[in-house]
Amino acid sequence: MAAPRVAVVGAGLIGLSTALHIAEVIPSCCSITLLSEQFSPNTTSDVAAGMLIPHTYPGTPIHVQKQWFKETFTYLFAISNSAEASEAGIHLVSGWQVFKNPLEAEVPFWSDIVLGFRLMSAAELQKFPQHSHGQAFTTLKCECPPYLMWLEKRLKANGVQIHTRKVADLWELHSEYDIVVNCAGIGARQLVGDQQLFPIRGQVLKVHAPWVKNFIRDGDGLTYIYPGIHSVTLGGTREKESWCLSPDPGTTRDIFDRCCSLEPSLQRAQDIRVKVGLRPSRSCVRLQKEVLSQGGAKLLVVHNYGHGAGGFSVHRGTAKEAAHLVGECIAALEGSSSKAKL
Amino acid sequence: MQAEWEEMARRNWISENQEAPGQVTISTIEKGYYFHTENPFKDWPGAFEEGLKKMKEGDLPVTILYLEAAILQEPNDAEAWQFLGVTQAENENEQAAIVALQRCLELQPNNLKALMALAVSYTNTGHQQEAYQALRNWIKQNPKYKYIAKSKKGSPALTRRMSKTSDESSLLEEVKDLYLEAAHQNGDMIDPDLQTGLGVLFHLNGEFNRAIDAFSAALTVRPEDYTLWNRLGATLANGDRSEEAVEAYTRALEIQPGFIRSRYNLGISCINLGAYREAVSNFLTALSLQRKSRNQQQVPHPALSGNIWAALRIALSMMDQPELFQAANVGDLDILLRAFNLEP
Repeated sequence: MAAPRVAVVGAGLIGLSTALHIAEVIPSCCSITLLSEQFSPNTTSDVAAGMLIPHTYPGTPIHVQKQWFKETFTYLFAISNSAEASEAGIHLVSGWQVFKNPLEAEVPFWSDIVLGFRLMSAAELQKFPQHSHGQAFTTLKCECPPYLMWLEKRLKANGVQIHTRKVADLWELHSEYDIVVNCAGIGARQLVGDQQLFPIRGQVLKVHAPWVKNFIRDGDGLTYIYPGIHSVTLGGTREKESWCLSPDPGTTRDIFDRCCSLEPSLQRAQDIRVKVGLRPSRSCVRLQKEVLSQGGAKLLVVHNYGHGAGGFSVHRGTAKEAAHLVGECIAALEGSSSKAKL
Repeated sequence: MQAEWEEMARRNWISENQEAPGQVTISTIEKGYYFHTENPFKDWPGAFEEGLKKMKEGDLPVTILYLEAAILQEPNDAEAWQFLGVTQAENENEQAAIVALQRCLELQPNNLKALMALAVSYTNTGHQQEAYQALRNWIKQNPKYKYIAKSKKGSPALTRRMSKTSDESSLLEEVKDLYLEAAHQNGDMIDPDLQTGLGVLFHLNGEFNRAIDAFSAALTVRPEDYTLWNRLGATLANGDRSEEAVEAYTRALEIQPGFIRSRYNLGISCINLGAYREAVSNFLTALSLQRKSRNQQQVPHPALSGNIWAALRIALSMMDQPELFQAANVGDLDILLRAFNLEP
C-alpha cells in the first residue's frame, strides 16, 4: 500500500510534540501534516508558564503518569544541557513549593525525577512567614513561544507539512488522510463532542521582574511565581467551566496581591501583561485509538488531549504513546489490505 | 529445546511473509519440498490411507505427516503429492502447497485436482500469469472439455491473440473464452469443477460478483464442500462484503472445524469488521490447532504459519494490550491462549 497519510490536528504543545515524535519514530513510511486554526503565540500553551511540576490525573495510574513525566523531564533536561537550550527556551529553575499545613504525603511521586528534591529547612522557611512546610527542588521550564517555535522548526526539518486550517469535523479529513491525530486541546469538546472535557479557565500575568530567580508555588496550586527567560509568570486562577477568554481586572489585582504577599519584591514589577487560557481538563488524558465509521467508511483516529494544567510536565511521554498508537494504526491499515485466501 | 525450535520455525515463516503485499513473496520455481525431519510415521505401512483418513477427520498437521511418509516410501506417488498439496493449502501453507502440486503435475500432467488447486494457490500468491496457465491446462487436460481447446485453436481471433501470449490480458481473454464456451456447452447442467474454475478466473480478474455467482452455482451441486464455502467467503471478503464472508466461513468451519485456512480468513474478516477480540480468538485457535496435533505426535518443531502470526499481531495491536502484543512478538502462544481463555 502507499505510505499512510497522517494529519495532526492542533498546533499547541501537544500537537507539535506529537507530530514531531511521529516524524522521528515513523520516518519515511508515512507523510505527516499538521493542521491548526491557531499557532503560537495564540495557543493555550502560550499562556501556560511551562513549568515541569506534575499535576495528578485522578483517572490515570500513578506509575503511568510518573513514566510520562520521567520521559518528558529526561528529554528536556538533555535539551537544557545542549547548545539548543536558549533557542528552545528550555532552562533549569530552582525554587520552593510551600504549604500552610503539614503535608499528607511526605514526598510526591515525582520527587525522584526532579533534581535535588528535599524538604525545606527552618531557615529557608523564614522567607515564607505564612507557611509552615515546604519542598525545595530544581526542575525545568519551557519558555513559550520559543519552545513552540523550536518544535515547529524541527517539524519542518523533518518534512512535516504545516497548514493553517480550521477543522470543524474530523470527517472532512477523510478523503485526504488515513489517520487523524486529535490534539485539539479544549477544541476537542466541539470537534469530537467529548462531554467529559471541560475548560478550567486560567488567568496569568506576565511581568518584567528579572531579579526574581527562584520559583515559588503555594501548595494549594492557586498562587505561583515562575521566572522564565523573558518574563515572570504570576498566577493564577482555576475557574471550572468558564469559557471567558477576556481578562478580568479584579482577578488581575487579586493575583498580583497574592503573589506580592509571597514575594514582596514583585511590587516593583513592570510591564504587566494579562493572559487567559482554557486548560483542557479531564479526569485523565484521552490517549487512545478510535475507529470512526460513517456509512461504511472508516477513519482511524488517535486521540491525545485533555492534559489540563499539566501538559508541559508530561507532553513528551504522551506524544510517545500517541506515536506508538499511530504505529499500530499503520499496522492495522496494512492488515486490512491483506487478502483472504481462496 | 522445544522453545528454541518453535522460535526458529516461527522466525523462518515470518521472514518469508514479511514482504509488502502485492510483491511476489513466493517463487514459482520449484525449490524442493521440505519434509519434516522427524516423522513418527516414516515407516508406517499404509501411510497414504491413514493420511486420507486423518484428512477426513480434519486433522491437517497429522494428515501432512502421513502423506509425507507415504511419499518418502514412494516418491513417485502423484496422488500422494496431490493430497499433500491440497492439505498444505488448507493448512495455510501456500509455499509447500505449490511445491507439492508442481511435483504432482510433473508426475501426472493431467491431474485435474492438482491443476485446479495450483491455479488457486497461484491466485492467492498473486501469480496471475501462472494461474491462467494452470486454468487453461485444466481445460486442455479435461476429457470433458479438451475438444473446446482444440477447436478454438484454429479460430483466427484466437490465433491473433495467441501470437502475443506474453500479454496478460490476451491470456485472460483466451482462458475466459474457453471456460465460458465450456459452460455454454453444458447448458443447464452445472459442472461444479468448471464453476470453480470460473470463480477463480473472475476472482483473478477482480470481477468478484461474477466469481461469487460461480462459486454459489458450484455450491448448489456440492453444498457440503467446505473448500467451496471458503472460496465463496474469500471472494466475498475480497469484494468488500465481510459480513457475508463471515457467514460463508462459518459454514465451512461447521463442516470442517479443523480447516485452518478458513479460520485464518475468518480472523481477517473480523479485523476488517473491527471485531478484534474475535479476530485474535480465531488466529489463536488456528495456531493452537497447528501445534496441538503435532504435539500429540511428539513432533519436536511444529510449523506454525507466519502469516497467521502476523495477522494476530495486527489484531492485538488494535486492542491496546501491550503485554499481549509483546507476547505475540516473541511468539508465546501459551500466554496468549491463557489470556483469551482458550484451551492450549
